[in-house]
Amino acid sequence: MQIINAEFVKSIIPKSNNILKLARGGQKLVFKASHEVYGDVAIKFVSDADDERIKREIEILTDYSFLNVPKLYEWKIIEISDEKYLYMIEEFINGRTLRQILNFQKILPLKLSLKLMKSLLLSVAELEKHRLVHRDIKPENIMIRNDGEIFLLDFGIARNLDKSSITFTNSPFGPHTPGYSAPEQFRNMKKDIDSRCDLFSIGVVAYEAINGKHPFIDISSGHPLDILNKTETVIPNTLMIQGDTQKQLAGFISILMDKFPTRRPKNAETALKWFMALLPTLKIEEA
Amino acid sequence: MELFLQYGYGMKEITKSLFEKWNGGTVILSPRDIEQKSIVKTSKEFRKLNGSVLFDPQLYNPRANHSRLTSYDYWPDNYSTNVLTDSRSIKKILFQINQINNDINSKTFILPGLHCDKATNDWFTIQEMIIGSASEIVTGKKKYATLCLSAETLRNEEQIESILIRSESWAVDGYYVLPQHPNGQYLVDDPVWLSSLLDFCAGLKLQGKDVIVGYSNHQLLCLSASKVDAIASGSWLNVRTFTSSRFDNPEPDEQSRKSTWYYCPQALSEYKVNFLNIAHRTNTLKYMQHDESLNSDFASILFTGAQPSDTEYKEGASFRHYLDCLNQQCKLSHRNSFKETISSQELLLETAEKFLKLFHNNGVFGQKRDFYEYLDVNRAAITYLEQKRGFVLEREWE
Repeated sequence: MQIINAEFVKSIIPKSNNILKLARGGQKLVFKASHEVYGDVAIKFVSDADDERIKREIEILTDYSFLNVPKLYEWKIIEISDEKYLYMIEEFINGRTLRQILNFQKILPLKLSLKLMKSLLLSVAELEKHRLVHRDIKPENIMIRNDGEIFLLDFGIARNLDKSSITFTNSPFGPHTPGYSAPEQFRNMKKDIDSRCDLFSIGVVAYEAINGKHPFIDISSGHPLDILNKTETVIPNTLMIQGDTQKQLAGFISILMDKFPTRRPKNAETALKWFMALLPTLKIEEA
Repeated sequence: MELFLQYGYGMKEITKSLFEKWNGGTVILSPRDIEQKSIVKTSKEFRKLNGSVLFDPQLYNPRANHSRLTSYDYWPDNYSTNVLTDSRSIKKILFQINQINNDINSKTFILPGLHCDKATNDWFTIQEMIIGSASEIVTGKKKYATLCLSAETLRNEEQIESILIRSESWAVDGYYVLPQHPNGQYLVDDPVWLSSLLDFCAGLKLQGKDVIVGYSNHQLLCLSASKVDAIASGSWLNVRTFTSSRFDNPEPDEQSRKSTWYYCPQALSEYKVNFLNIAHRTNTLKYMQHDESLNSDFASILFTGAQPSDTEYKEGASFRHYLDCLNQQCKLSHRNSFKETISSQELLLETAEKFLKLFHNNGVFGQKRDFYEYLDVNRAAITYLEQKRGFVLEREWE
């Protein structure tokens, strides 16, 4: 990736200007640029162009257009010194990830937390209609734009339930992020995976955003296996939320995080419906 | 919630008199307790009284040795290979059971299902082979999968969840649940077992399917909080409690057991006649009489002023009274919302507690059928259900 710098980006994408390197991590290198056609864009370079998961992410982003997901404008495989790279030109979201915000202010105001929940539920309900499961909803993959719009990022481990799985069936663990993935997901119980996995993750994100504490990760539980164990065995304390007059919101978040999928709402559409119905029971005083 | 009658020894006349009184009802026929040659005639008699008839093939253990069971056409030969493990033999059995279902004019086909000691891949495979084959053979009838579960399976949350999630894709209209009672207990003192049963049945109901729980008694009135469609019960304890051993070997039928019991619905307890005599002497008997609103006369003779043991209150009346009251209690347990149902179940237990204290203070005890020590078991189960599935059940009640 050494050779990939602003000049190189300009050379292969001539319509891009004001190119700035944003981040580098793992197999990815990200630039921000002004594109003459698309406006502000993020240009991502990936070193393993043949990675099935990258292909699947591209497939999902090109086949469908989702409301709160950054648009994928273009992608291409290029060869640099006999190595294949892939670049993607995506809509640039000017804001911060939820992780960055939580690192800075620990909790999210209730109004914004509710907006976050609604947005995530809407996104998952939309994915569900296309038989897609995101499988990696976590604060690092949620971007809050400066105008307050919320976006869901990174479909790297998303799964189309109508297509064959990339993970080996005999693998004891499926792709996951410890602390945010549902037990049936990290246990690689493929037949049990559907949008209820994403509902579990939304519950964890909401719990963390409102409470400032992760339900399954604390100072003593840094080891991934310890986190997985807690995800399967710990029943998080019910949230005490100011203004949650009938404990409906706390109850809703608890059932989203239930370790058993059949105890969660049966699908995202139902979850969204219940979430909207509980909103009038809340008395929110903050500005 | 409805009450279905679970056919057992001596149930024919009881079923007829209750159907007559109720102007109909549903009975689940048991090949263990009725000869194949009599089944069509008996069903006709029930149907004449506006009754519906279901047939439970009782293939929980295909190697069971009960002579009446094994005399049925569909029952596999003890020495036959691949019993219920290859689709050809399954189809053959289903075809023969289907014939019986057609003969008795049942509207719902109860599919055979193996006893589940543990929800293993093998057990799931056989369940799914049966369900898959049934879709080719059974037409024009609802199909219920049999879920015959050991007490250990039921007590295990992970096992229960694995059945719930796997069954989501089964092409059936409902489930016939047979929960093995722990240690053959009539009234169960294990709150984990009862909580799991409520949780499990609620999970099945949330699939939008019918759920019937067989071999039940009044302790399972709390299943109305899981929105179960019906429980099935009968005369003797072996049709009010599920124990798989009942089907394995011939056992003496119940006529040798002499005690006659009176079910006091407001106390959820049953009493031997000698304890009713004590109640008579301590002027407590009037509190034991079932409420008029239950509209049941089968035990009225006990409350005419004579000493109960001097009356003609016999076994037949005892069974009819029990089932008649339970039928009414089942109906009353149906409420318009989950919260209302929970409240009504809590009230049922509170009321029973008050009556039981009064009876105990007057020396009237139900012995093994006294509900006092089971009140907290039921309370625990209801609370557990409310905590685990209350949020969802509240919203999915309709």
